[in-house]
Amino acid sequence: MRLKLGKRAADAALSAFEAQVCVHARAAYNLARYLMGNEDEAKDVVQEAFLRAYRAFDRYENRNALAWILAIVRNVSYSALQRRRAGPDAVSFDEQLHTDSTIGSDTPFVTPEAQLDRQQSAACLRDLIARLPIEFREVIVLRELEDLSYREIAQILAIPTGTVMSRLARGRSWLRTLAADEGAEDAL
Amino acid sequence: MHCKDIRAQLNAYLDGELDAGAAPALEAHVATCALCGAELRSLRQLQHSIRTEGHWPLPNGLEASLRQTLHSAAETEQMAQGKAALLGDWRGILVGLAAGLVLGVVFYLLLMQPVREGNGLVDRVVALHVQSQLADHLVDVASSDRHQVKPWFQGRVDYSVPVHNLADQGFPLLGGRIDYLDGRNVAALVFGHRRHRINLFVWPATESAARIPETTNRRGYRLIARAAQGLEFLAVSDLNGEELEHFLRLYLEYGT
Repeated sequence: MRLKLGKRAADAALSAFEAQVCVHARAAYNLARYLMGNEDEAKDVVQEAFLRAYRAFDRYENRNALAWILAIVRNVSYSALQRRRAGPDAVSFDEQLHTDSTIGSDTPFVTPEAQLDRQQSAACLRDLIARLPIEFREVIVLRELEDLSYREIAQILAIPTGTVMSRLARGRSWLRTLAADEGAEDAL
Repeated sequence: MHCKDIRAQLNAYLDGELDAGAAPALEAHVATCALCGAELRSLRQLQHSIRTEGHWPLPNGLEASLRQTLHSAAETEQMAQGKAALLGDWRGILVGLAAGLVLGVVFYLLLMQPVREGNGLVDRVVALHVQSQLADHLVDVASSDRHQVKPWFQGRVDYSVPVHNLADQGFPLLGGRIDYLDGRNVAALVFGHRRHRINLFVWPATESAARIPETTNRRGYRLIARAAQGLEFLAVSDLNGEELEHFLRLYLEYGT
């Protein structure tokens, strides 16, 4: 009897988790991808973050599932980055940046030209964001791509909202400088 | 105002985070100062580009493998819990035998049992609430007319269910349903509030009703229990606590 109840409760927990938290998989991956700098590690981070979130879901009382899962993604990413720095073959170069996802080098001519232009400019823009130091990169991603408020970002990063604003301002002006240096203003 | 002060506020303005009081002065300045105006346009352009082109697409298969990971984690957890429960029972029995004290048995019956069943009930209520939304089995009788919903319950439950439509207060009645809970058929009323759903379970107050805490949070859902009019009311929703309290208070005070 109790085991039956346990199973039903566990199914309900999983359904609730999927309905409230898994819907943010896209946002979670996007943040992880920007923090880790490559697709493989970002995927691992997302898996681990959702597993951690699921195990903590019993104690979850927060109303803001998006901010909650992004905070966990950020923690897991930072731990992974630390391990990477401590590792023997520290990789700082983002090898996959130019090869993975939308502009695979083997498929440039199958898409219509307009589409290709757009994809290249998107890749170029993501490349620029990737070159920002991490503390500026993460506020840009949280603000512009996940549309979080200064307060939500401040909570996730455990910094004052004033710092969120100044990092955003610096990050944005940095991005424009990078774009100008690259002659890539049209990416913006 | 100096351009320097304006520049310091442009980012907050762009993000909609500038004090409402400060915005008109900034807008007036930007309208007349060519340099600050250009700066704002450039920031807007950058924001637009990031928002439209900055997202990394979700890799194929990631969502599926995520689901897989979570399902196997859930299964492992269930098995672990099953073992823990058995172990817990054995320990209870051994302690009971060794001590042989009536006190122990009394303690067990009075204290442990209600807590466990109360938790079971909470889990069950959350499960019903989730199911009602996922399985598209929100209501058996879909109507916002209380004169239609109330009679529907007659003959289905052996008590009179007070049905009110709180549409004017922002909680429209969506319908009713019968659920099996705590060993009996109970009435479940469904209300909407913005895009949220509230399930209100109603059944006759018994001794067992005292087992449910007044407010409980479980997996992001909130449950509020109240005894009134000889009945037990249990509201569950993903609304925030104040709103759910407000709803239940309105409901219980309806017509008084």
